[in-house]
Amino acid sequence: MSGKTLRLIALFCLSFVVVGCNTMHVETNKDPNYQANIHRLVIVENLGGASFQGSLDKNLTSMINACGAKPTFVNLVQIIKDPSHRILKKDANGISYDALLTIEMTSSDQLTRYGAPVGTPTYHYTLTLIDPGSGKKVWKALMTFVTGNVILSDKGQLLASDIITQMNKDGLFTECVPKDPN
Amino acid sequence: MQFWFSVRIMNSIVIRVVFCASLILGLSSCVDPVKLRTNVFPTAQKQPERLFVILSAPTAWANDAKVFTEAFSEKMQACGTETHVFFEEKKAESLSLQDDAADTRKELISEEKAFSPDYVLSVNWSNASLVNGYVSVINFNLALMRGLPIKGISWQGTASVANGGWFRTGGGKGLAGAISDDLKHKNLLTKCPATKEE
Repeated sequence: MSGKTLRLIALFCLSFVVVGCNTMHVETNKDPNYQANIHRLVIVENLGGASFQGSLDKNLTSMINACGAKPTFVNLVQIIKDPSHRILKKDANGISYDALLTIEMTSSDQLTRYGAPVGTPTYHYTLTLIDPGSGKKVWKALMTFVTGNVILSDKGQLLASDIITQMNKDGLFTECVPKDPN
Repeated sequence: MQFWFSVRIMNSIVIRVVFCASLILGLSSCVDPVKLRTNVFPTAQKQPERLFVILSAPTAWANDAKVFTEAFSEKMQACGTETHVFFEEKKAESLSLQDDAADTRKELISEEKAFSPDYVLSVNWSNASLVNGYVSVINFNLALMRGLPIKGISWQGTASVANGGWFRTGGGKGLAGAISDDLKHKNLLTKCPATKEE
């Protein structure tokens, strides 16, 4: 094998390490009667203590701003999940918003070999958009996020980009074309 | 000859001691399978007298929920708090936009009204960490809320419950013990009988 070929192979491998590739499997369901006009979005996250939450929030904020909307992050995971939705209603009166987005990590799966982790975990997320007017779910997404060989990439940025791209694709934001970091 | 014989005996004793020591160490690591991280808020009021618990978890955890209900009610009773646990089955994630939990919610509200609690404790399945496809740790969100309708949060946090283990001391019983102990340590349960350690 020539030196040039070896260098090309090394460069190819390095590009994977530096750029990384996230694999995202997404399934969504949108209420066909829902006319999205989102300018104020309340976001409630339950990410299971993910280390990239700060980066996710920062990137979500800038991407949603670029779509002509303003996000507000509310730490009401426990209360929003209260089955009777008492406090959700109370807060809906307190904060004026067009839609409520919940982002929940439902499970993570780590492969191991001989007790040592192999690669990065696979994360499963459920995203739900609620229309505060009717109190109904108007959009739902099930996402599988695998960061694969990403070492240097920003997981928060990748996830934020995938979320906003999908919401845009489903017509939930009408005033933006999110910038694809890839 | 005698020397080698005694070496053999020594070896077998050493091997047994090492084996037993590792076994004990291994088992002891399974003894504390519930980890709680909680905060108590300064607005926390008096000890709950009538506590309504909403335990939300998947069907697969139904047996643990029963164990939790019995163990937690017993512990609360000992502290002078009457408890009622409502188990809400958490459905598998789907893309449905329908409100599948509407009937359960009606039932919950009706039971809650009938019980007339002064505090509501929410123990809500948050997520599961899997290793090679098998559930390893289950995380719950916890909140103790004052009044009905809710006037504020007195205590909030998360619980990580290790799944399985040789003694299976995690699950419902471990969670019940960890929550009641934490409430005691945070002075939210002040009427409990003193234990030997105290």
